[in-house]
This record gives sequence, structure tokens and C-alpha cells, in this order.
Amino acid sequence: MTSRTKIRRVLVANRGEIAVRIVRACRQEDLEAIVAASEADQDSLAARLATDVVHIGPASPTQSYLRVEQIVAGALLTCCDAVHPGYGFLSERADLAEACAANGLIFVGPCVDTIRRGGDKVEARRVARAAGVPTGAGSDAVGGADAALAIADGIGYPILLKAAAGGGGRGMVRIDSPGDLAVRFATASGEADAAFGDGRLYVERYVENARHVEVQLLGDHHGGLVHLGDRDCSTQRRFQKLVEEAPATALSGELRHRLADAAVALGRALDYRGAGTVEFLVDLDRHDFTFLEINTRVQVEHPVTEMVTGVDIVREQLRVAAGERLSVSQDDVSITGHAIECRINAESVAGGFLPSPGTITRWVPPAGDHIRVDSHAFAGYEVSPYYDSLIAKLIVRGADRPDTIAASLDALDRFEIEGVETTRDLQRAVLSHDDFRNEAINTRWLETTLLPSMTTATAEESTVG
Amino acid sequence: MSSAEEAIKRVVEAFERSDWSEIDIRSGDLRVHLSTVAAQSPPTAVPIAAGRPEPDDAAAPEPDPPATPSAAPPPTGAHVVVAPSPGILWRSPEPGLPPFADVGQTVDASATMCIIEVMKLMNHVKAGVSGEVVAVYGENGVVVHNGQALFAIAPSSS
Repeated sequence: MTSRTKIRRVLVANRGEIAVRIVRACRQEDLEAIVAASEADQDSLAARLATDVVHIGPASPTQSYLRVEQIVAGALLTCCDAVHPGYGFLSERADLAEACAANGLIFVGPCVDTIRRGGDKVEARRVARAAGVPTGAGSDAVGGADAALAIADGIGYPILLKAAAGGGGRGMVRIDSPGDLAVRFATASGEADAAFGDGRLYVERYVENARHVEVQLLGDHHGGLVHLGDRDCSTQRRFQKLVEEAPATALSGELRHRLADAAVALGRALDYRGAGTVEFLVDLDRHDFTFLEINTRVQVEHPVTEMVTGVDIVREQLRVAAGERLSVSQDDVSITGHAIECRINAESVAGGFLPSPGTITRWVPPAGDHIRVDSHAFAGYEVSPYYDSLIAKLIVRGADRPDTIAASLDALDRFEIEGVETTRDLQRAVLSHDDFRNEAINTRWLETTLLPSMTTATAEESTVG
Repeated sequence: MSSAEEAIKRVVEAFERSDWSEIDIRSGDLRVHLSTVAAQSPPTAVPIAAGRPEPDDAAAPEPDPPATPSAAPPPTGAHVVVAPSPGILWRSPEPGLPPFADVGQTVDASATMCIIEVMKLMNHVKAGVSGEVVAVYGENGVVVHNGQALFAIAPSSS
């Protein structure tokens, strides 16, 4: 019965599985979806599902998906009234939100100021601290190697040197000693400048025994702000997530409450609108947590939250952008069961996770009542060397964690992919491992325990064989 | 005005009040190419006939390849540097900078010859031997396949 006067047509400024996901949400919300596609993506699944396609340039992202002017002009040419940026690419770029506003387009995301404060990790830490959220031992932006050394001495090694404009696991260096810091500071700053156009660095204590736990937020223009519970994303390699689950059952209920409260406090401080995620590092030795960063966009792993809450996060984003109220209040949100997501990447695990582009020759995803596969791939699809390696997200829901692990393993077994190498077998190894089943892992477990054991196993196999 | 004309007008107006230097977008039988740079071809904002092949002259120019790749086969005894994986060949550290290596240049075994970008991963390809670069096979920005010859190096006699 709500009149959708504000949004009728949405430009999907992204590609891959998230573009498909957004097109689907648009259809469910009775909105037309126009997909912005590079030359490499003209025949993509998202393009085929969309009402129309606008071509925004060559395959290389810097000439297409990363060009604000191409996106905005594409939206205007196709008579869109809103732009959904997805994740990655321009999703956390305040200048896209600004250019949308300047041209009468609704940006599906928080306001420009929130994006800017969230994107500057030093500023985000300051906002979090002011909101009473623990930020842990660390610093604001440091002036140089000497200042960093003084701070690191106070915290104790190892430390992380992080780019103020980084985030999402990029722009981080682990430093183990003062000598190491002296040597690597200038390089890290130079790399941050090259990658993000901002060479500022800050220092954080490196927590050896930690879990990565995050809280999903949704806010609207009418003062509505809810959290949809937490996700545990501790199975990582080089700060990149491989397996995610909801809820974060490894933590005590009391700690999980505190995380949710902290996330909501930060959301209030930022006057948060749309979907966002507050990431925390949980120190397993100190039974405490610190704020890591806030991501002002929909996250790759959002489906696990959808599976246990029944709330469609992308549809809520569209509702909020249109000026409507969230469809849920905090009291409506309840967590039922457990969900696990495996990110199936086209990578060669044996080859040191080298990306494996090529043509998918066979593609049979598993199906079933509690199985969801978010993907843009199909048999005959060519995995392009231009983009990241994610080809599918396998999301499985169960009554509880053991049940979900068993169902996920079964689904992984039935997922037939040929033509490119994938991380599927690695995820099978993660889910089969006793440490994972017993919640006895941390953010370093995959790299320090699982991967070395797999290399040994392979070596033994080849000796025997 | 037709809706197509209105859409084009909106794009042109947005371009005029922005600091954008160029846009080039296409949807259905509409294509809009606007540029502040004095181009060889005048900026266009015209409907193109559906199904007709795209005129290529208006495409954004690729950065010039640092040097003209040679087509000749590697000289006998030369060490051939090959692509370690499929990906995009970058011959300079970033656009506008001189290439890592060019014909006639002497390189160390540990020298970076080029970058192969594959799914956001930047792989620095090393020379492997010390010597003089005698041939360059790939153009900047092209997609290369696994094992494709990229450079030939005449090893220095030591």
C-alpha cells in the first residue's frame, strides 16, 4: 500500500553475484533494475535478469566500475532514480554518494558524512571511542616512524600498522619488533598512498588469539535502528574471510550482548541509515573485544544473517533508500537456527591460492530446502582475470551448529564445478576439522594449523602414491 | 521531446555542471560520448542504429605501450620469460611511468620485468637470468595466457 514515489528504477553499479542479488531484490520490491556492465560483463547473469543494461566501459575496473562519472551518467541515461553500489568498487566512496545527490539520484547507502567518517579508520575509531565503544590499544594517525615506535613501545609487540584509508583486510602490516617497524614504516606508508591515495598510518595492538565477530545494523530515516545479531568470520587467510557463520555461538551470551549494544551505540552516533556492519576483534585470552571498523555497505556474508533472521537485508536497503521505515523493529528480530557460508573462490589452494581464471565447463550447484547458492556463474561462464575470484557463496541453514556443519559438508560434496580450480575442498577440510567443530579456532587457525597440515597430508599422499 | 532526448539532455547537463573530463556510455541504441579534451572525433550524443558495429574511434585511448613489441622469435640461446599465470600484462609500475624493462636494457636476474594482474593480485615477474633484453612480446594492458612468452633475454656471459 506504500506508494513508491521516490524510487522506480535502480541502477545496479556492480557485477558478479552481488549484482544478481540486487536485481532479485529489486524485482521483489517491484522496482526495475538496470545493470551497469563493463565489456566483460555484457552477457552476465545479472545483465540477463535486468530490465535493461547500460555499458560503462572496458573490462578493466579503473575504466568502468570504478568511474563515478560513468556510473552517474549511466543512471541518468537509463532514467534511474537510485544507484545501488553493492560491495567493493565504489560502495564506500563518498564521492559517488555526493555525485548522486548532485544529480538528483538516491544513493542506496548511508549519508555522505557517515561514509566519510566510516571510511577514515582513524576517524571511525574516534567516533567509536566517543560512543563508549572500546577501541583497544592503538593510536590515531602517526606522524612518522619515530612516533609509531614510541606508541608501539607502550603497547608491546607484535603490532599492526594499518592504513587510515584501508579496511576490508587491505593495507595492514604485522610488525614484530622495533627494528622491523623502523624498516617497514616508510614502505607501508608509500603502499597506502599508492593504493588509497592516503599515506596516513595508525597503530593497533596485534591480538594473537582472537576471533573476528561482526554485528549487522539496519537504520532508517525515521530514527529506526536495529541490529540483526552477529556473525563469526574467524576462518580467514591473509585477513580475507573464507567461511562465515551466524550466530557467533563460540562467544558467551553476555559478550554477544555487549557487542550488539556497542554496535548500536556506534550506529546511533553515526545517525546510521541503510545496512552497515560493525566489526570487532574478540580477544579470547582477555574475554574482551575491541572495535575494528565499520563497513558502510552490504557485506559479502550478509546471507547468513538473512538465513537466521528471515530479514532480507538488500530489500531493507531499498526500502530505506525510498524513505520508508524498516519492516522490522528490534523486538521483531529473533535468531533461529544456525547458518554457514562458504565463499567458493576460483583459486588454486595447492598453488598458494593463485587465482584460477578460465571457463567453467561443468556447474551443478546443490539444491535443497535449507540451501542457498548466491552466484553469477553457470556452465560455459568465463571467470575473468579482471575481477576478484569469488564465483559462488554456498549458504546452508540448520537447526543448530552441528546440524549446519553436516548439511554444509553434504552440500559441498554435491557442488560440481569443473574447468577452474576452487577453494571447495579447502572449505570441506575446514568444516570436517575437529578444531572447527569444537569452536577451537581463531583468526590465525587456517594459516597456522589447517593449511600446514594439508600440505603435509598432500606430501605424504604423493610419497605413498 | 522524446524520452530518449530527455535522457540525453540530463546526461549533457550533468556533464556540463561537473568537473568530469570524459564520459562514454551506451544503452540499447543510445550512445553518449562527451569529452572536454579536444578529441580527434567530435563528442557525440547521437542514437546509433541498433545492430550496427560500434565505431571504434571514440573509445578511450589506452595508455601508450612503453615500446613496440617485437614479433621476431627469440634468438638462439636466449632466456624466455613467460607469464606465470593468465592475467593482464602491465609493463610499467603505473600508467605514465617508464617500463620496467625494454629492448637493449641490461637486467639482473632479480629484476622485475612486468606485472601480471590476475583477479586483483599483482604478480611481479622476475627476469630469472642476468643479461640484455633482446625482445619484448606483449603489449601493455593485454590479456596473456599461462606460459605465454613475454620477453627474451640474452644471458650475459660470466
